[in-house]
Amino acid sequence: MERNTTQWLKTLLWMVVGVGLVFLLYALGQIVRLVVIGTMLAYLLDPLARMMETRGVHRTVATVVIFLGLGLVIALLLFFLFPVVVAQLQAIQEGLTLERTRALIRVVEVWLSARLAFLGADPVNLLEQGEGFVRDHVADILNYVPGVVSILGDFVVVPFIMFFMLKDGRSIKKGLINSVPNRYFEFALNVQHKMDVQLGNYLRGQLLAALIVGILSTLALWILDVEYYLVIGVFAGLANLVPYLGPFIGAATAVIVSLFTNEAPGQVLLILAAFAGIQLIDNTFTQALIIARNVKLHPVVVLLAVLVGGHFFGFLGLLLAVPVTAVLKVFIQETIHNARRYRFD
Amino acid sequence: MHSIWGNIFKRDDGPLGTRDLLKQIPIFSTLTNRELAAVERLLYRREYGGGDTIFRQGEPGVGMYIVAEGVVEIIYEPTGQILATLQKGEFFGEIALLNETPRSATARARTACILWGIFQPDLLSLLERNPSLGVKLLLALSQITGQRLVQADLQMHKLHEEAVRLEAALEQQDGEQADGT
Repeated sequence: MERNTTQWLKTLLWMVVGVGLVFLLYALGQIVRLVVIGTMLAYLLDPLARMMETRGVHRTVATVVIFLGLGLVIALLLFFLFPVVVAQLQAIQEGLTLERTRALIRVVEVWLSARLAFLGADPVNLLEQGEGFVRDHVADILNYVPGVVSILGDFVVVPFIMFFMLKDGRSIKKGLINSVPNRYFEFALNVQHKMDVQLGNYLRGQLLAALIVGILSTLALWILDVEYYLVIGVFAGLANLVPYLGPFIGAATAVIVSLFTNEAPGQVLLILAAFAGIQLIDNTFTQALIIARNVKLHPVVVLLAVLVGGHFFGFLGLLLAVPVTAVLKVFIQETIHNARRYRFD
Repeated sequence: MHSIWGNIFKRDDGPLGTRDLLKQIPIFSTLTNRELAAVERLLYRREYGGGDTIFRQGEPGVGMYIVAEGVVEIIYEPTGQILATLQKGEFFGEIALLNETPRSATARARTACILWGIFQPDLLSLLERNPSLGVKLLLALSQITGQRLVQADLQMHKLHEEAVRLEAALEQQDGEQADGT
């Protein structure tokens, strides 16, 4: 009986600590976001630093080289791609006022009104709403002038955290593990190692897959002469980070744009065929790259994670929801599995 | 003045006395100072009170410990028999560096202890980053394992001979008893 009460108190205490921690994370949302992004980038770049270490390069030198290389790549991308992306976004904003687009939306409107007539009043005014939505949101992106705090956060703090995590990540990890009490020390070391093995492959594999899909989609859309190919291609690559849903969202965006901007209906079929082909390539390669069966998430879990991520942390939350859920899943799985092996009460 | 020069020319000897301690361990005895420094960076310093358990028999093993201070006992759980008593400069659990096998006995601190732990994940990571050092360590580890295997084989052989001798004696005794009746 007494033991039961103690167990309950223990559970209650842990729950209070857990809720407090979640609240703290939420309250420090902005800082947590920066640390998570910086740490994840460092984690993803770690194999590169290791590869250089294998060739006898000191870790600090390797970190500096990677840091400068990454800076150069980003600068080149900004220099060559940024003007094209801005031009395409501007075109999207203006494109919605085209006559063909208006006519298409009106057809959809009539179709919907006929089927939703039982609702009584005129239920939709798609044209106005759609135009307003795109104008406002694309204008938001185009007119986006980041504040001082945001610039400081994204362009100074993230690279700063990334640099030191990449350089000193091992000793930080070691310091954290070393602070674990004796009884749980070997257990913590074991869990951390198992997580590292499973997640390292998974996260890097996902990122590589997203990159491949992004490049292939952009190329395919460019060849098929789809407007705004670069914006849609990049979006399709990013969407690919969300399993099950991502590929459909990427393809759907391309199809919608094609419907609104292209006269020939054959283009839609070609786009669908291209995206199916890209998914085939992605699945074949990804399966070979990602050796992490334990990280497999159920579609319902993916959907919930995306909803929660998007609700609390916006667009970035949508993208990071699945990797973060994978980290949590592996952590819980390994903790339970190892707790049994270490026979904790 | 002395302290300034002392600081400039001071060799980075790692945590107090660890390098000398490492040199005593057969696994690390052939390493250069530079290589020892790399190993030192992998070490975890752990403190235990007298009577504290370091690991339990049957738990997954992740690495080995070197005794820097104090006395450690290796205990066979079912009987409570003390298999070994280890002191400064001695080590235990080295097989777990090669393979994550369950601990074959419990390790307990008899007195307050300071131990240096080195663990398989860090060894594997070092093997990847610094293959030549990794090969040296693995070679030393396999030599020790090989020596243990030869010793175990000899002991087993002796025990087998003893068992055969006892069996023969028992048969002879039975035969004499049968003749007597």
